[in-house]
Amino acid sequence: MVYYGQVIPSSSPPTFHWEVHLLTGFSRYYSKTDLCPAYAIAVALHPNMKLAYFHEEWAAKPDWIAGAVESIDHRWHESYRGYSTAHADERVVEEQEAGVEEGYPLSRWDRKRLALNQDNENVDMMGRFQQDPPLKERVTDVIQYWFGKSMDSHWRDLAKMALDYLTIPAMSAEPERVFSAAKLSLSDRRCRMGDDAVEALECLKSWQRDGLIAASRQDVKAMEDMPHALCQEDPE
Amino acid sequence: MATTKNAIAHLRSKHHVGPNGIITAGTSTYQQTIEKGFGQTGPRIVFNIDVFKDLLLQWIVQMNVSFHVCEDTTFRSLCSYLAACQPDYSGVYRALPQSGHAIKCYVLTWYDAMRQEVMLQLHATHTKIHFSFDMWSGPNRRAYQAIVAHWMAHDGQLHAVLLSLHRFKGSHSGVNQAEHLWCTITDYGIEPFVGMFNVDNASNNDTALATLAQHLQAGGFPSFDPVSARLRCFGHVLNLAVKAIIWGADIEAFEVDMNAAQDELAELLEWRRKGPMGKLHNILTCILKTQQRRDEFTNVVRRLYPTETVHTVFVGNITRWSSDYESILRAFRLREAIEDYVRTAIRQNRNGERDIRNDNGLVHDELLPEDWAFLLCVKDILAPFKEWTLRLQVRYSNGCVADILPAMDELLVHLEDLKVQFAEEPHLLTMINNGWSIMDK
Repeated sequence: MVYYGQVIPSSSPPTFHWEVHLLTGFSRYYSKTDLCPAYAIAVALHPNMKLAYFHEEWAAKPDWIAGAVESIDHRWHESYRGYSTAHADERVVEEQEAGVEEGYPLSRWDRKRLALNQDNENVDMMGRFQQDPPLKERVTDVIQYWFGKSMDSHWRDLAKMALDYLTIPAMSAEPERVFSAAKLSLSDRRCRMGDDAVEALECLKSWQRDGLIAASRQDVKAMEDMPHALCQEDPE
Repeated sequence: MATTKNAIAHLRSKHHVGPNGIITAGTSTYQQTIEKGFGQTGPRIVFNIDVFKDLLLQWIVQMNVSFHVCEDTTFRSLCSYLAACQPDYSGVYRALPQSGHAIKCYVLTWYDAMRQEVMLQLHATHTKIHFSFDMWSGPNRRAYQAIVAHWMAHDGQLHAVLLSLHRFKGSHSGVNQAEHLWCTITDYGIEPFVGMFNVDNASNNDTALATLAQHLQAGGFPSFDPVSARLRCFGHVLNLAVKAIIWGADIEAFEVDMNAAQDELAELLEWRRKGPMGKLHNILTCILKTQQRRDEFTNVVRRLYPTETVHTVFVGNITRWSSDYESILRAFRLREAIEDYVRTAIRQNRNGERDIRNDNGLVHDELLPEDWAFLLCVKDILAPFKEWTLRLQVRYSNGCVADILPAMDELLVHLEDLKVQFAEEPHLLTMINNGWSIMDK
C-alpha cells in the first residue's frame, strides 16, 4: 500500500521545487508508516475511530484504505483470531478457578454459556467490531476500554490484539527521562562512580518511580496507613 | 511529603516525641488522640534495622544522595540524636553503615534482589513488551545506552521502566547496539514477549533491529519482523518538521554550515540569511549573551510592562521540542521591550556609547513591522504542531500510537490550507513546503 505516494501537485509554482519535497520527503514518511502496520491497527481498534476513520478521512485514496484494511486483517488472522481457543485448556481452568474462588461453582447454565462462547469464536469479532459505527461518546482511556473487554471471552482475542498495539509508546521520550535523572546522580562530585553503581541506581530509581517495586514490608505499610488525625498539630 | 508526615506521626504515636520534646505518656491530650485513632490495640511498629536500611537506601537512590552521606558527621549526629532520645532507636546508630563503600554494596545487593522481582513482573505481562532505547553521553564523558520496557500488567496497570543503563564502549553502530539489546532481553528472559520498538530516526537503529531479529531467530523466535516492528518517535518527527519550517528543509546541512562558520560574524550572517526568524534569533542571542545585557533587558521589560511576570526571552534550541515556537510566543509577549531594546542599542551605537564590536550586528537585525507580521504567520503555522506534541504527551506519558495517523492527517490538512492562504507569499510557502518535506525523517 502506498500512502500519499500519489500526491503530486500538478499546479505547483515551479520555483519552489515542492514536487521534489513531496516525493522525497512526505511520501517517504507515509511509506515508512506503511511499513509499520501498527499505526493503522491502532486507529482501527480505537472505538472512536475504527476503520470508519480511513473510509472517511482517506475517502479520496481508496488504495490506501484497501492497504490498511489488508494489513489489519492479515495481523488479525495470522496472530490473534482464535488465540484463546488455541489456549482453551488454560482458559477453561482459569474460568473455573475464578468461579470457584468467588464461591460460585459453575452451574449447568454457566457451562452451557462457556460452550456457547467457544462456538462464538467462529464469529469474526474483528468484523463484528467494525460493523458497528464508531462510538459516539468519547473514550478517553482506550487502554482501559479494551482492558475491560479482555475479561469477556467474546472479545478476548480482539482485546489482546488491541492491547498489544495500543500500549506501544508513540514517542521514545522515556530514555530521555532516564538521562535527565542520570544527569542528577552523576553530579560533578560523583563523576567517577562505577558503571555498575550507575546502572543499579538508575534502574532502582526508575522502578520505584513507576511503582513497580513498592515498600512491601508490613511495618512500612502500616506506618504509611496511619490515620491522618495523628498528623495534627500537637494540642499542647 | 506524606512520608515525612507519617514519620512525624510515627514519632508521636510510637515514641511520644513532639516538637517540644517528649510528650509525657498518659497526661497528654495527644495520647488520647492516639488512642482514639488506633484504639488500644492499634498497630505497634517496632524499630527494625532492615526497614531502616531499606528506607535509607530508598532516600539515597531517589534523592541522588552521595553514598558518603553516612560518613558525614552532621548526618551521623542527626541519627545519634534519634538514638539518644529513644532507647528503641539505639539500633539506628549501629545500623548506619560506616562508609560510602558499604552503601554502594547495599545498593548493588538491593538492585540484584529487585531485578528478580522485576523479572517476575515482566514474565506476568498481559501484553507484548515494547521497547524504546537511545544513546547518551553522560557528564562523565562516558557513553550509555538506555533500554526502557513498556507493557501492561494483568491488573491493567501500564508500566514504563528502565531495564538497563549500560556503559557503552566502542562504536555506536547498530550491530553493537543490538548486542546489548539482546543481552538485556535474554537476561530478563523476555524473548517470547518482544513487541515493538519506538526509537528515533537514526539509521543505525534499522541495523540494530535487523541484527536483533537475527538473534531472535537463532533463539527460536522467527516471527519478529524488524521492519514492521519499528516505530519512529513521533515527537521527533514533529520537531524536525518544525525545524524544517523555520530553518529550511535541509536542517542538518544548515547545522553543518553553522559549525563551519569560523567567527561570530559569519555565524550572525548565517542566521540572518534565514529572514525574520534569523533576525529574531540574533536579537535574542545578543540579549542573552551577557548578564549585564540580560539585566538591561529585564529593566526595559519592568518599565514597559509593570504587571508582567516574565522578564526574559529565550532562544529555541535544536533538540528541544517546540522550543522555537515557545521562543516566538515569548517574543510576542515582550515585543515592545525587544523593539525598545534594539532601538536603544542602535541609537547608542551610532552615538558611540556602546561597545561597537559586540552590538554592531543589531543594526541589521532590527525587526520591521513586516517582519513581525511574518513572525505572526510563522506562529500560526507552528501552533498545531505544538498542540499535537502536548496532546501526545498528556494522554499517556509516552503518547498513544492511535493518535499518530490522525495527527499526521490533521497537520497535512493544516499545511494544505496554509498553502492556499499564503499562495502569494513565496517565503512562507517555501517554509510550509519544507515542513512537509521533513515529515519523513
